[in-house]
Amino acid sequence: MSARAASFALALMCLVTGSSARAQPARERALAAERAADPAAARAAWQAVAAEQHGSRDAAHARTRLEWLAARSEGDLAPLASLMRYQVTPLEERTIEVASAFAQVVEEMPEGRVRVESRAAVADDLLRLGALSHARAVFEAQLRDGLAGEGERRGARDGVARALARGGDESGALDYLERDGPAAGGTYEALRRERLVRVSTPFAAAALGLYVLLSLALGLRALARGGAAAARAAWAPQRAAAAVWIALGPALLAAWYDAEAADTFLALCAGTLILTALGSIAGRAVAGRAGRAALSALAVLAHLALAWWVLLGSGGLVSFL
Amino acid sequence: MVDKHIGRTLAFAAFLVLGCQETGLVEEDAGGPPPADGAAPSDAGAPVEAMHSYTPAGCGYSVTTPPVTEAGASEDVFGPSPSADHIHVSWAGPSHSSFAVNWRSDTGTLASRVLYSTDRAALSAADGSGGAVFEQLGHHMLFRDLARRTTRVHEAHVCGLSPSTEYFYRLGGPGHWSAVFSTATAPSPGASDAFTFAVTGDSRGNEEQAWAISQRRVRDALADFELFSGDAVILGTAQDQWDDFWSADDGAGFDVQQLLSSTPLMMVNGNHDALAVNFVAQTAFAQDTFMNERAQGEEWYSFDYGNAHFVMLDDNDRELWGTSEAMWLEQDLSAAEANPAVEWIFVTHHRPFYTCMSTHSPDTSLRAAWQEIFDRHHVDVVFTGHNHVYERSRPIRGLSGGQGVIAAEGLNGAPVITGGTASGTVYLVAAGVGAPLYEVSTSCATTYSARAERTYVTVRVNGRELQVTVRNAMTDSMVDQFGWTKG
Repeated sequence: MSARAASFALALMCLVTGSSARAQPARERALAAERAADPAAARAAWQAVAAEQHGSRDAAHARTRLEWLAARSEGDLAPLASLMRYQVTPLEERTIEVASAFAQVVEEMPEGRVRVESRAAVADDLLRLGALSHARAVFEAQLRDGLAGEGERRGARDGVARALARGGDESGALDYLERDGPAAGGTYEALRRERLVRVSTPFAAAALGLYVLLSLALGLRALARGGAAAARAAWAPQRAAAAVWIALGPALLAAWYDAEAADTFLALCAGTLILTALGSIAGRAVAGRAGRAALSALAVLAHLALAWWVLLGSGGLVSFL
Repeated sequence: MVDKHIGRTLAFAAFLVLGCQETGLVEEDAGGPPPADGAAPSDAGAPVEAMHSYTPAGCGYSVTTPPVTEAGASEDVFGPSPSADHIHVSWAGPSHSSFAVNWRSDTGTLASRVLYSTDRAALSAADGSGGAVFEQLGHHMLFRDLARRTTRVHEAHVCGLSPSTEYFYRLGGPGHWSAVFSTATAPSPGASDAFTFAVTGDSRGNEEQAWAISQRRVRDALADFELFSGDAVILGTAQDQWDDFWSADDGAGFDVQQLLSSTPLMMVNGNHDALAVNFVAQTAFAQDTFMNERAQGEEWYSFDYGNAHFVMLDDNDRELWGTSEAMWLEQDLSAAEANPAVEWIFVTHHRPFYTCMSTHSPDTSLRAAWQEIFDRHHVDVVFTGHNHVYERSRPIRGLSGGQGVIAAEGLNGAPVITGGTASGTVYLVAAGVGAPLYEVSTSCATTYSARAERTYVTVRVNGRELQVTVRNAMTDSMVDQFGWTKG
């Protein structure tokens, strides 16, 4: 390499590494200022990054962050500093006293993005901490804030409903969400799911209990009448093998393809086999088509109840209810 | 009789449940190269399948499409509304010198070009390459989903770029260019430049608009890229759900494309994604096919960013995870550990093998297949999803009777560092940016902290220092924070 080429290469290297070295501290200054909840210092540092290293990865970040800060600059960034301090407070230190005090600060903030975002943060904490009426009041204040966006208003409505539900008024929560037309969303679905589970559980228990009691009684009657022959007739090897295969097949498939689902299928399998065994011997004691049809219908209900319980317990239905 | 019907119904339900998790993707013929461009011969009545394989100019690696209805090189053909949407970037090549971009158009548009430059003004004015503006040709694919809806997507790979540089780009073709987007390349391999990445997962269902809100948070947290731990959608073969995934908005003027068009999204396959053709055709990751790996080699892959190595695994096929995938994992981590430029190793997959009393139990067979490999190569953090909660394990190293052995623990549950090596691996479950939240417990010995909250994670790597911050996606309040320095 000639001396001229080498000096050119060196100059180029200095230019590149020099600008990188200058921008690196500015970026770190900006991040440190953000960690220290000092948005004014962060803004100055990000401006330096954007100016010093135009066209770099960091400059792109600086532009993004400057836009973010500009959108939250009300009150000369003081409200934003409060919010940042609150948000980086460790979860276990965000006690009811700390949250209540911040809620007070929030209501004194000038209107703007920061106030809206602060309400969302503090109301969620108040709800988590069990200050239900205070949480509800903050959510309702959010709903009255003209600067709250559609998503934030939805979050506030969900928050009011969650506060009502946590206070035991589940119906009131659902009614509240349905007040402005067809409701949707995670909170609504979760509340509906809880209600469905609560309402359906006694019916499932009744169907299953009735079937088990009835089939046990009928089975004992069949055994008393026919003795072991009745059991052998009901559980002929071929029928038993078919039942075991039908019940075990899915469990085997699950064990092979999805070990995590094996427990669910094994529970279904064991339950199905027991219900089927009970039904087949009970059937020996029932004469006439109507009686057998009624027992079969009850068996269907019992199997559905079993599946409902097993799938609820495994979480397999949570995405579909 | 009735019982027999019930048994059959249960068996059918099991078939449906399992069948729903099948790929919907035609298995690649491992015995030979993919067919050349255009449609492959097919039986009468069967859907026509095509694959397209090529080496993008300057990239040094080849790209093969999954079998789809149509696939081919870019042609300057435009449909009635050729504008690009669902624009998102990723890496299929080196992160410091390339990027890949995927987008959707109307079904009639075949133009799959990218114009790119470091000069935004020059790019805005350009209708083709020249001066500071360069051009790359990509490919297009047409596929049908479960509902027989056709979707045209495009993919292009841009290579030969400079490290740590912002590039502006436009998509489409002459006379039909998109707006200007930008993305940035990674620092040079091994550089100790600080960087931040985000981790999210289980957006399926997009409850409470949590997916879009989390993406706004990721943008505001200045993440250089994002890892996604699977389950983008409820049903991988339903394109309408993927459409929502790529275009979700938060109801306050932000849509996910604002982030994903600039911040690479590196995804793993979740059980709901099912490695469906929709997933594979709309994403671009490294295609280093290993043995019987599916999805043209995108089923599992790794990449480097600065001084860190990232491994992205598929844990949905038990026939593969303990065999070929484990072999690949061993090779990949051996190479990473031997690479002096790599100081950190992170793994992402979907199903956790350390999780406490949540909906899904810990996957112990997966633990048996992979943990020893993670231990041997000193993986720092493993990110998973599947349980829609936040959970952090204590540092774990070794197995005893199939159970994880808790390693030496430092401040705030972080591993102890000895000779630059962490005492154990931290296993994180961070999922639920849209899926229904589950319950979780801290009662297990291996669990350090757990919360039933929708969270997003940001990880700051600054040379040999690591800081992990977990925030509630809905409120942006801190949920957990920990980190350590490797001496």
